[in-house]
Amino acid sequence: MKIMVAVKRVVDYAVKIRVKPDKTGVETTNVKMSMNPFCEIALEEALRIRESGLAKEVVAVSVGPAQCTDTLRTALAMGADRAVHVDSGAAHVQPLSVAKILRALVQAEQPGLLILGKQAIDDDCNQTGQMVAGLLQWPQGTFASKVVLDKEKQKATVEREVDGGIETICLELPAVITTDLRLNQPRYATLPNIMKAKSKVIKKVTPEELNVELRPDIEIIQVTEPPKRKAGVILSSVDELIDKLKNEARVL
Amino acid sequence: MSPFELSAEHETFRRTVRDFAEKEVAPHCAAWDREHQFPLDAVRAMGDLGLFGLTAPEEYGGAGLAGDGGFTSLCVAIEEIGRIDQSLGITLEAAVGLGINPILTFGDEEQKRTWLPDLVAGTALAGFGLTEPGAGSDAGATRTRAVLDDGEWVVDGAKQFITNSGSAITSLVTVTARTGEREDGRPEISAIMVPAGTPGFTAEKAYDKLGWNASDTHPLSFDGCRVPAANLLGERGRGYAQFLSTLDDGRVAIAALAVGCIQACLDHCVAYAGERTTFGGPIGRKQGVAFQIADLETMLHAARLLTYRAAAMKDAADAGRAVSTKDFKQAAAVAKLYATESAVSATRIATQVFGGYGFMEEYPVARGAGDLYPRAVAAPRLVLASASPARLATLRAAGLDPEVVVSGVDEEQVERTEPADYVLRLAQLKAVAVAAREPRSLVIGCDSVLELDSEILGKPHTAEEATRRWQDMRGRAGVLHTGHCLIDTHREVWLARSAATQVRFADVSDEEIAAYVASGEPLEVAGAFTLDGKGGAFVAGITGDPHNVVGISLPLLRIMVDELGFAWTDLWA
Repeated sequence: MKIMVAVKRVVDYAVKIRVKPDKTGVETTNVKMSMNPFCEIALEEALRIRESGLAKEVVAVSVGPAQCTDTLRTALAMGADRAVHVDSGAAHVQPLSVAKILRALVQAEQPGLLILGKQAIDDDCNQTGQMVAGLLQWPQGTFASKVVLDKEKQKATVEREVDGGIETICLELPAVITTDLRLNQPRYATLPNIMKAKSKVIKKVTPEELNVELRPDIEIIQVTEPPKRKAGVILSSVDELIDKLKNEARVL
Repeated sequence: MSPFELSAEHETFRRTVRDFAEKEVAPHCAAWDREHQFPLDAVRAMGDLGLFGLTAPEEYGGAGLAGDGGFTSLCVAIEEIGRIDQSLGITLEAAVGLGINPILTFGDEEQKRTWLPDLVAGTALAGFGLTEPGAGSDAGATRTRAVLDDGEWVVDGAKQFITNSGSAITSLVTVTARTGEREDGRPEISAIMVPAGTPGFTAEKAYDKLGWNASDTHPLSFDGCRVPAANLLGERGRGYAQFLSTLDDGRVAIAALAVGCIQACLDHCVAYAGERTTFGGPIGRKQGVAFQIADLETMLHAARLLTYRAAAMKDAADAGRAVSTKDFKQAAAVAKLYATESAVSATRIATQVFGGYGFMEEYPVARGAGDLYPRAVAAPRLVLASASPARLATLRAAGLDPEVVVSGVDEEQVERTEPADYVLRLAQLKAVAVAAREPRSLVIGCDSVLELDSEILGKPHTAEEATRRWQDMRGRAGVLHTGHCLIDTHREVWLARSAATQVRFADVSDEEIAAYVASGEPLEVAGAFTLDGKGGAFVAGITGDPHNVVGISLPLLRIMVDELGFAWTDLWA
């Protein structure tokens, strides 16, 4: 079985984000970029499944500008067998477009599993996995905190982290899984694997070649910083609290 | 790819080690240093990442990259680990350079197969026992003896400062010992492997060092310690020569560790200088701070280029390309000299940029400085770099007893700029001129000027000038600026600050001025008056520190002394 993993290049999680002065977005020039943490978890899960013998090949794919190849090189260094870069140039790509592109890639590659991070830490959309499952008419297991494959029966048992607790569902393959934080601890790319990645292939395609038109469905009107947190106030009694809630915060 | 850059693979690997160091080492290393704890978990994690095997062949579990940039990768790893924690950096460097390398280079198949796999995996550590209480570079002074008896070496002696020699996972120490005498009468030195736990071999209690507190360093003692004859490493009599040949690699690796230290200092300084604000702006905007950080960055680039140039030569030689041994040896020595000296300067600069916080334990620069500098802060010898009797009197009255050393700096030669800036520069010049001649002292340099309506008033030298001066000042208010520069010549750290006090002059008559000028009070004293002398009555009032008007601000001096790490009350004679 082949596993396809979609990864996204985002601003590194440790960077202090700054909003651009014209409020059209956040500052990304000269800012450290990395693989989205949930995508790392998705890739790690795919690698573990391959290492357990239940899959033969892990293909990493990414939609984005030329620098995406850095992210794909990291995926190869972690252990993916090959990669596909869908070059979207300078266009700002949105979940529905990515979902359509992934559908085209899935139809070409025919993987048994498509694994993605549950959301990207830049836009926090949490949509792409669900949309591509809908487009493919595939079952989906989102927010996965545990994945167990039964290759013989061609099923995946997925434990999902939902608001009420853990939900366990069973999916028939092929299926889409999106990963949550506690699914696994991604590996570091060791030097031998980094060197081996040098000879692995990154295939480049364009959205046009996949018959996908990159048409933005969402227009970003404005990006602003959240209001600064104000200092708290220590009160001396419950009466004072009620008074402030009533007369200052006006929530009572 | 430019020949001055590392390959894309090395940069990817750098990111891996940096991510690892920031996630697994950074949160804990301050605690390890404070508690003098050897971080076994981190060592194991470094082993899992393959850091101990970067230069070892695949058959022993290594990366198998000798000749394919393996040594450069080791330097990158040491640099990135060292950037976060110098103790862990030296642990890695010694484990590979002194533990694995000699066995890999000179061991026979049996020895390599027995010892290397665990060392390469990072589940065991090996030390190299060369240094003795009486012998370091002087191999001839080695006193540890090994005598062949019934198929066993019997080792007797002592070793000192041996890294990785007594940790919970130490598997062996390779020691140099005198195994006989050569024809020319000089001692025959051989290398013998002594497994941990061998009866008669003791790793004594670890040292309490000034720095590198999380690194495992022990004195060793050998008392009738018996090991199989097959534990001889390499050729008999070639023990010291074998060690010397691995030293060049060690120099480059130590240079890489130093580069990590400089990078850390730069990162911390840039971040702090951008955040810490004084007088309404980040301190990074002050030229004094900015110039020092620029120096730091320049040293970093130079040290890094020298280090990786030497590393590239080693990798090229391993790949079979023609590289002169002599050239490599020189490149390694140059890199080590420059990088380590720069690292010392870097921690000094970082300590200054951080000011008082540089000595606070929570701040990383303190650990850096401690790793490279003694932290002795006993009460220093005070030197006042000023001829002013008023300044000396003020300090004496405040309980201090400085020696006076006149600087001889010609104030007229210094360009008049903003008053506060001008007095600061003069104070620094005076302090520096004296500091050059006064080791192990705390040198105080001061300079004062009176500013009247944005004009710096020069010192009157004649009665006429003094008279005109008083006619200018009467009824008006001026600002007395005093620059203070404090230099600790022992630790080579310094501070410079200025204080300003507003002085309002009384409306004195021409007769009073004439009487004052004729009275005999010194004319060259700034403003031609002192608060304590006859001119005291002619000052209507002041706003600010009174001592500052007379030439030295005691409250400011106390703050500066505190920031340099001394207690003001310790200075009371």
